[in-house]
Amino acid sequence: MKSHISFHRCLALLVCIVLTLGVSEFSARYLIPRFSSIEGRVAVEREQARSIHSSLQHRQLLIVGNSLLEASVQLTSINAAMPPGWHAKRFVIENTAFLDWYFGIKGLLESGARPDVMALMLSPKQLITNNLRGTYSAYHLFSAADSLRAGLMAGYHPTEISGLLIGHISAAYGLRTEIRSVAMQRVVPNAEVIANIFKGGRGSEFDWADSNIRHIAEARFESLQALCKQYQVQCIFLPPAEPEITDHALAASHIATAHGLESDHFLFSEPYSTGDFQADRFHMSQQGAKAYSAKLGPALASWLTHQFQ
Amino acid sequence: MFFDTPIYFIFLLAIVSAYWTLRHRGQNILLLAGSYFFYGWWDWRFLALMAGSTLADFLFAKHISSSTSASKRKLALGLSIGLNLAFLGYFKYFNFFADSLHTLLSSLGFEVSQRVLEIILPPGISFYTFQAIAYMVDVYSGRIRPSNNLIEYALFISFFPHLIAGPIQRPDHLLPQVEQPRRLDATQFSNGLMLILTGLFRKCVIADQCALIANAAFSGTLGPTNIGTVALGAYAFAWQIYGDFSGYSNIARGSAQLFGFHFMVNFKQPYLSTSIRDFWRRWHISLSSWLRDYLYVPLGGNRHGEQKTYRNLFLTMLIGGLWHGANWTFVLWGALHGAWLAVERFFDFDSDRVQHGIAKQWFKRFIIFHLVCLAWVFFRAPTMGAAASFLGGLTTWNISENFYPLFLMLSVFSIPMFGLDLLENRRSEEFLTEKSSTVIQVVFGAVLLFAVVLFSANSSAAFIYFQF
Repeated sequence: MKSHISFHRCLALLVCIVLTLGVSEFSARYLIPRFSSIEGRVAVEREQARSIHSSLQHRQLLIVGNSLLEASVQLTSINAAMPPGWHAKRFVIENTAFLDWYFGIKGLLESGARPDVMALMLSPKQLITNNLRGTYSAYHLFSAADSLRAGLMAGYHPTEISGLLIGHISAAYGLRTEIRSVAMQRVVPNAEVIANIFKGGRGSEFDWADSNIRHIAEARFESLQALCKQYQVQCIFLPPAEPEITDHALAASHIATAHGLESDHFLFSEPYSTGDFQADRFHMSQQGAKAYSAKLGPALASWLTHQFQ
Repeated sequence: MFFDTPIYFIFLLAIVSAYWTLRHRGQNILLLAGSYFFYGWWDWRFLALMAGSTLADFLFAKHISSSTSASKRKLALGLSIGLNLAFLGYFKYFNFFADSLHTLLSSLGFEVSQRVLEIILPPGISFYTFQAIAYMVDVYSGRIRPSNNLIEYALFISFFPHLIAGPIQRPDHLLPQVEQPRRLDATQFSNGLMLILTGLFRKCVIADQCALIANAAFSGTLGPTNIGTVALGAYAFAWQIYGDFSGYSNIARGSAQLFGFHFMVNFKQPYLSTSIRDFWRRWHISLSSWLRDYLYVPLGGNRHGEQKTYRNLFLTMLIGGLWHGANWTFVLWGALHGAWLAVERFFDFDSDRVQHGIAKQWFKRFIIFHLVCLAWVFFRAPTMGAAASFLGGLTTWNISENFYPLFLMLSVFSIPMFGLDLLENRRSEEFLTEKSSTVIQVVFGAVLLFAVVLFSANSSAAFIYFQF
């Protein structure tokens, strides 16, 4: 009798574990986009990016990047400046860097996305770093094979690489940061204040006078250009706005242009005011985004007209 | 593979599924192969080291047992322990002692070139070295007979649930379990599942969130140190390390139980201790009992007068501190505990003869918890200077506005853990709901797992004790 009860308890626990994991997976896929504004936006933008198909009458520009893109580019202003027949869309995932977007762009193109132009916006440091957004990128951006490749290129341990693969398959595992963010907001008082405390600094920039850094940038731009060329998509590199143009921004932009990704055309020398940036002096404020978009829109329009006439 | 990662559970599921289809010998071979795969996954370069030291100890033990010469037996024991400690000393302490010697000589005016080697610490070496030494000593003293089966001995050393961070298993506890057939017991299996779930809760929900606060406090993110920062950092780290290590121990014990093994309990609600001596009966029990039996007692224990007892207590804890890491902060942490144990003994604070009322019991718990937190500052700080600078914040009474939201967050995650400990202590359970009905246990398990899904971090914050 006792062994009977023990067996039933064991079975009940196993069923409970499987059911809980199943419910978690279902909730992550279908409920988190409703509870998290960030996840809702990412899900919508991802589907829009994947379903981009251009034609001679409806040309498409897809701009991808991280929070720098979200803060500095006002899409309505960009679209207002677009040449006739052109439409711009964006796909933003915060805390991403080059490896996230190289494999992300690859994933988009492999899934059938065909914009005429792919524009990537990253800071010079984000271009060089090997940092990955991890399982979040694996879920939203990478294919299964690229989850492994991205982990290897980022120097991940096999445990972390296997985590990327699982994050690609499982929404509950891939979206853990967002899930925790939603949970923390509901459980911990002042969760947003606390999140800002834990954010930490940006760290120092790479030394762009170092030839190794320049070689990394060259190799990355070459690989990105080759990838887009494979799918007959033009690629451009948008340097994000800075309070003052720095040597590394100039270097990154020149290297991009020299390797077939137009960038110099989108480097604006006019300085910005203090009010154009948020307190971190990295992300633009609404005022700054308006000013930057007012420059970027016409610059994009003139370049697109010249390239596609 | 960390215990809180999906790959570990895929590995565990695969091994458990195959295990129960095999007979005893096949089970041992499977577990040994799986354990070496598990270790190689961490770092394949050290497989040969572990295999080599395992073979050497196996042969030394057989020689000790078969030899009739007392001097040869002692020599074999000395060689085995020496070899084990030599490996541990080289990989873990070479750079520490070289650096310390260089600092000392430089301070005395000697110009010495410092040679720092790129030495990588083999995972788990501190744990399996102590386990091997316990085996050799027990064979020598006749407490156990040596294993005649290399596979069984190798499995005793390398069994993956305890390989990287313990609990350090006693030879007379684990080796017979390896040598005897195991049978599938549903109660043991379900208890194993619950231990894993409680372990994941402690690690992913409690420890990892407290770690954010502790890291912010100790790294200077919260600004200049003040009394609030010190309180946040010390309390948060206290719950982080407890949740982290007790969580790991639960997962290790639970994993072992899925194979029919029983591991010794490693934690018994340590923050309910009423004395430092009580603390060491409840914290990392496998290590504290190892230090008692293989260091404190051989040093003389309490058999040679009070002065030597104090010396032995202090030395044992000093070495226990050094075992944790190659840094003077760990040595000081151990020294503090050793000193407190000696003082307690001198004043007879931990006498079992005196019955205390509830108020006095809680007062003692409060004091001991804060003494332990004070010592944790040295355990956590990267250097002695950093620890001193951090504690200097106690003299600054301005509390920043960051303190209040972080203290609330710490309360949200530490109070449930404290509550669980209180209930487990009262009910004398290894995990809450151990003695409850199936329905209650299953619901509790679901709640724990759901909390883990909600709060597990983006990147796996390593278990603290994996670095030892």
